[in-house]
Amino acid sequence: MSEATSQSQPPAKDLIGSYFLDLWCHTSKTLAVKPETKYASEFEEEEEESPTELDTVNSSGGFSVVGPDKLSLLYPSVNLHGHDVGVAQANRAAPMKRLLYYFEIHVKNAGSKGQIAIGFTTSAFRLRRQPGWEANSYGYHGDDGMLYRGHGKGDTFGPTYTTGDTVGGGINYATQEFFFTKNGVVVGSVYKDVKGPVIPTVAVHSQNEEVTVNFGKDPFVFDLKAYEAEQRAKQQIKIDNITIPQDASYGIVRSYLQHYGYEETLKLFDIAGQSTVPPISLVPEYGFSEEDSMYALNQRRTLRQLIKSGKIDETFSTLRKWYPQTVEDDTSTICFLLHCQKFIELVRDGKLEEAIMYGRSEFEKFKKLSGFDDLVKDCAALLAYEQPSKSSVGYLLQESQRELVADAVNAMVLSTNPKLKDASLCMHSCLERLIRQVTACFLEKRSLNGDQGEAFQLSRILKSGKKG
Amino acid sequence: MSLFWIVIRQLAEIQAMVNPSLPARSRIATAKLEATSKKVITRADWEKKLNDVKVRKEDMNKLVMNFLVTEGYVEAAEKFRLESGTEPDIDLATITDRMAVKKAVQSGNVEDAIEKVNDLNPEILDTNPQLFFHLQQQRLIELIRNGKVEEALEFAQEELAPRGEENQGFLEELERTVALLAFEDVSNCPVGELLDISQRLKTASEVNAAILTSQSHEKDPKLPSLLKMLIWVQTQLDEKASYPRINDLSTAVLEDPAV
Repeated sequence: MSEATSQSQPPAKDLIGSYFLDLWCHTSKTLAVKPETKYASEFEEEEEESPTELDTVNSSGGFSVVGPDKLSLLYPSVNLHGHDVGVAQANRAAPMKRLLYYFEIHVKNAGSKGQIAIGFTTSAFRLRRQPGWEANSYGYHGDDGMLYRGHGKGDTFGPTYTTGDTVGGGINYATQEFFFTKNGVVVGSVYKDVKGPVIPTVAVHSQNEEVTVNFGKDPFVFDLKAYEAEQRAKQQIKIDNITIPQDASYGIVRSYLQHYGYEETLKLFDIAGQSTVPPISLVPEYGFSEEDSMYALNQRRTLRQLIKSGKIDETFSTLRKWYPQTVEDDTSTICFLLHCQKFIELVRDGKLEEAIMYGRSEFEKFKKLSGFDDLVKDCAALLAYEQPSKSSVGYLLQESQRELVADAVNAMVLSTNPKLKDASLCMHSCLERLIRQVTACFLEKRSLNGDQGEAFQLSRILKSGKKG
Repeated sequence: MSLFWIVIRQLAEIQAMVNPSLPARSRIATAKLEATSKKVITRADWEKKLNDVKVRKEDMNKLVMNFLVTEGYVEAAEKFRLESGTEPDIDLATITDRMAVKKAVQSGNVEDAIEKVNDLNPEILDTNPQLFFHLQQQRLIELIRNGKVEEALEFAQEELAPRGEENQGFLEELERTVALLAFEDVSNCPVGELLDISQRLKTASEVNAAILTSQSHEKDPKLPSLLKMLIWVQTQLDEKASYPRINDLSTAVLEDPAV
């Protein structure tokens, strides 16, 4: 293998080995913790907590009464002035890492003056005033239908509301707006000029006013899902209008097939590409010639097939024959990955005793690898269960683990190319680099936006548009 | 340091030209703010962020399979299923039928295409009057292309004119198509583009999309959308930060920001 890949970087095979080991560690941490999370959210972010009920500790004592279910608010006495509003905030701030947040109130009784309000406030809000009467608070008031946003004087906004109406308040993080609804219809929106978390807030002010609050436990009167789809569609139109080079996707798919060694698919793909109308012609890639991408294509295909069928011994012997430099150091990460996979295959076949002996003779020499303890523990844990595939380490028995090892071997073989200029090109396909970039950009954009709004999630893209 | 002040003065001068009403001091102040308002992310930091993104191989396989299937690369999709273990999200058998229809239109065999579509699902043309009209229009174009003037006129009067009566848009299209007959040199006439292969491709694409929709499948592959999202988000992020970008989609190479 060429040592001249780069002076400052560690040798390619170390980089590659540690990358895949790290990937396995990540999978182990996320999947092993929640085995029932079959697929969907492992690689996604931790759930943000949402408001569930009204906060009784912080609500303005004395003026209003929060019901025992903490989802209703009543103003029992007569109000005397503007500083005895009965206000209740939700028990936490609205979650921010999403496109929309929404909650509703239902006016059970508009009391003597219908001075009800729904809106959003911050933790610094003075809980004796209507939301919207103080800075950094917003309120849509039922008695005059106006929108108050921090001054005593409100803006004409929407209709008034009274007994029997269901009014909703929402946040659109993409447009940075608050929006309000009445009986399932949007009445208007206003720019959200508040930084940081905001808390859903409800207020009552005249005698016998009573409202109930719904933070999502019951279905909303407003069709939030449809609204969300509408908002996404608006954004999607802007994106759809962007032009990309023709056949860009074709080129990326082709390079994907080459990178991972899907030789047979590539052959058929090329044939099909020639017979399309008009035939597709690709501009050769800069810096990564056709030769490099096709390097050892057939060998890589063979190795992948061996690993995917669980034939690890054969994989070892084939590697020793064709690319001895990749497995000559038997304390290397790639050997570790292969030995673990052999162990896993033995367990899969029910050869538990053989597996134990194998593990005892092979695992010891890898003690120095980072992540060794946790990963070997995971492997060993397979032995403890009658049905290991249903256990917390069941992920090891899935195809994805074989895939990981196959991808690691694939990258190692690519790195033996004497013409290789950059080791990192072995590890990630062009498609993967593009997905990483788009994900990182969305995360950075959100972070610069006060951590509000959605991130890019590939699984959501894949699931979208599925009907039935 | 003096270079810094030269730049600031220049910025202030430019601002003065743009905003003469602003007092001098605030112009310089805002100029200073503009010079430093973008967050700078170094290559090393950006690569760390990239490394924190873990992409699932399964998801990438699905994206590729979705491309093969939506674009109609049946044999490649079948082989990909074997080589990667990825299940297609649509029955591969239906792709062959769909591709046969598409090919028929692309080769100008519109009658054949219509027959095949009806075999697949007679509701497609029933519920898609626009598509049906475009297919009939293509038939007319092919008749004209082959010099069958009599047949073309008959076809236009019997099949297309009634549709034109129901719909103003159809009528205009019909008139445009029939106009082809009025010209000696069709390749240079104002409606000559109708004879171009691109017209066949347009119709073929329309039929392909209609079939996919009737099978409750999205008519476009997801990969191009992802690429557009990348371009879009980079443009958005450019306003607030300076960071390594991907400017060439086919190589996905990171390019350092201009200093």
